[in-house]
Formats: sequence, structure tokens, C-alpha cells
Amino acid sequence: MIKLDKLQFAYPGREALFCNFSLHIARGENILLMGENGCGKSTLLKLIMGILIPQAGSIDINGKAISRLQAEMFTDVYYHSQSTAENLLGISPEQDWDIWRICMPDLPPLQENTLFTELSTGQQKQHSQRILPYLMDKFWLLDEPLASLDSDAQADLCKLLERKMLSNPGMLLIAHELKHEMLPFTRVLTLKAGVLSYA
Amino acid sequence: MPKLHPLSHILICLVLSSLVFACGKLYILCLILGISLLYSTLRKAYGIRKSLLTLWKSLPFVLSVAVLQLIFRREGDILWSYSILGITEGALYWAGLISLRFLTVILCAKALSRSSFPEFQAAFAFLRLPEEFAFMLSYGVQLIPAFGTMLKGFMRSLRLRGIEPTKLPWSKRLQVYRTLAVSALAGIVTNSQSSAIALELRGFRSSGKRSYLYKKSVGLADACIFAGLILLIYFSLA
Repeated sequence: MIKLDKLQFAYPGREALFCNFSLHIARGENILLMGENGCGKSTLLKLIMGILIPQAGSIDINGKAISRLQAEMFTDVYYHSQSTAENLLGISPEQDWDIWRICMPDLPPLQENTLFTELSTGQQKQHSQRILPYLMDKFWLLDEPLASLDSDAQADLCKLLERKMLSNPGMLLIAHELKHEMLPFTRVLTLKAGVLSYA
Repeated sequence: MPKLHPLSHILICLVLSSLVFACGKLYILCLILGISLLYSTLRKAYGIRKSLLTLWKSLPFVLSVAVLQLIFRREGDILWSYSILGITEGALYWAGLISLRFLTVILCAKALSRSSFPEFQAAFAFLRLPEEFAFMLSYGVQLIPAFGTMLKGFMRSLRLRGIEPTKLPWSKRLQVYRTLAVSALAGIVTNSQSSAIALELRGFRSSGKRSYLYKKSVGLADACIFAGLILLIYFSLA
């Protein structure tokens, strides 16, 4: 499904984050990725999506080489950023949903004219995740989806993740709050100094 | 590039972008554009490729203004004519003049927008101007780049949702662009409000004796730059 081969990446003027980094994710695998702050977890997801470009190495999704972010990638993969602002478009939940309905016309309409600025960070995050149940057929790349959610919202999301694990494409999840015993992950990986190890 | 006082950077941009409007000689304007390009390249190690890319991106706008000048200006000898259209010597001169002016201003504005708020603050503190002035100016010059960066981020978010804006039908495209433009503007206003609150929380505008974390004095390199700018003004206007 996702293949990263001999990846090399460093932010300009900084030490290399990944050196000869490889990761193969099979279809249906559910992976929990853990690691300290700044170890490169979010960078890894951005590299997979073509948001960041590696200095060397190759990335492919379903056999298609990824050199930059393209709209067609949405057919196979959905990436949910750590930053809520990046997951929302427009100034209100209704506007954001209307943009979702451009690519998914079958979505039910939503009428919520509250401005995003009037919602709390947690509420904004919850809204940004409203789309997830409609994207069960895609491989999920979720970056810290549980952060800033209250315990009820976290429990709801965990239920959804559990349901998602039964569907085929799988997911790669970054979560500090999640104990790996809570959900039946296929693999639990820890990233440290650009090297992956089994937790 | 030697470490210059932030005020020197503002002065360089102001002098270069003002000189192009005060001077009417094409070879001087070419020289000023060259200096602006060099300055833009060296400012925060931006690089020649990115500076040239800035010029390339502004080319459609600059060329369209130049073409209007070529078509509608009627000054001097006719160099070429076809039916009612004609290109005169004066039109060619003005097209060149305006293009060079625009390109220089764009490069200087871009270079200035790379200055951060603390740099503006240090520059205006040196002139003993109020900090509100530094805040407003730094926010003002970064308004258009911030708008551009926000829109770029929105385009990325659209692609993550499987939407390629350029492939949308016109009606949908307009709907999306309208939503995103309003959202970007709202974002900038909200950010300015957050920045203002953050500054207030850090004691900005508080009365009494102040200490500045970021203070820089003028050095030899700045003196050389001032001398160079005075020479350039003299040479351009002589």
C-alpha cells in the first residue's frame, strides 16, 4: 500500500531527520506510531503525502510514485493534519462542509453558521473530524487526532478507530494519548533518531 | 551579507523603491534593479533563484502594464504601425520605465516583507518612534505575503480533500476562491488581534522604565551602506 525506500530528509540548515529510512505498510495494516516530540513523526506523514519532498529515496502509494502532493492521492489516502487550522476551510462549519461536498456530493447538507473563531480548539477539532466516518474506504494518516479533545470526544473517536480497523485499507496513527493496548493495532512502532523500532 | 542594523534594511528598500520614481534614465533604473536583485538575493540568504522566480511571477502583471503603455502612448517618432495600432519611441521608453519601476518595487517589497516584527521594533526603537508604529508597519508589509501564504495553505488543504481547484467548473471554482479569500482575510485579522494581545501580555506599551531584549547599534557596515545610498541618490539624480 505505502512504500518508503531509502528516504533521506533534512530541513534546511538542520541535521538529517531521516537517513536511509524505509517503511513498508501493507493494505489493511493498522499502525500506531509513537515517539518523542520533534523526532519526525509528523514530518514522516508529510513526506508520505508529498507535502515535503525528500532529498533522496522514493515513496509510492499503491504503486504510484509520489513526488508532490496531488489531488488524485485522495482516492487512496486521507491525511488529517495535526494542525486543526489546516484541516478546516472557510470561516464556519457550514462553509467547510460545503467544500467537502464539492468532492463528495452525496454528503448530507450541514447548517451550522457559528464562526470557527467562536468555537473552542476542541470543538474545532471535533468538527474537522466529522468527515472521518465518510472516508472509511481510504487509508488514514492521522496526526495526533486525540489531542485537545475531551474524554467523551476521545472515547467516540476511539470507537470510530476501532470500527475503521475492521475495514480494509488500514491506517497510520500518531497519538501520544493512546495506550496501544486500547486498540488492536497490527504494529506499534517507535521512531527515535530516524530509526523505527517495535514498541 | 554583513550583519546590518534593521534600520539599514528598511532604508535600503525605501531608497531603492523611491529612487526608481524620482529618476527617469533607463540605464540608471537598470542599475537600481540590479542592486535590488542583488539585495533581494542576499537578504536572509533568499538566493538568486527565488529572487528571479519572484520577478517571473510578477511578469504577467508588469508585461500587461507595459503593453498598455506601448499601445496607448503617443509620444515621439513612430517606430512601427499597423492599421490604427502603432508603437512610438515615447511609448517604448515609458513601457521600459514602468516595467523597471514595478520590478524594483516588487523586489524591494518582497525583501522588506522578510523582516520580522522584532527587526521593525529594533529599527523604530533606534529612531525613538513608538512601538505601535513598528507593529502596524511590520503587519502592513507582511499583509500581502501572509495572504499569499494562507491561500497557498488552503490550496494544499483542497488537494488533500481530492479537489484540484484548476479542474473545477467555473461556478464551483468561484465559490471556492470566494470562500477561501474571505477566510484568508479573516485569518489575517484574527492573527493580528492575537499578536496584539500577545504583545500586551508581554508588557508592550506599558509605562515606566523599559528594557529591550533586542537592541542593536549601528556599525561600520551600516555607515558604508548609508554612504553607498547617498552616492546612489546623487548619481541617480545628478
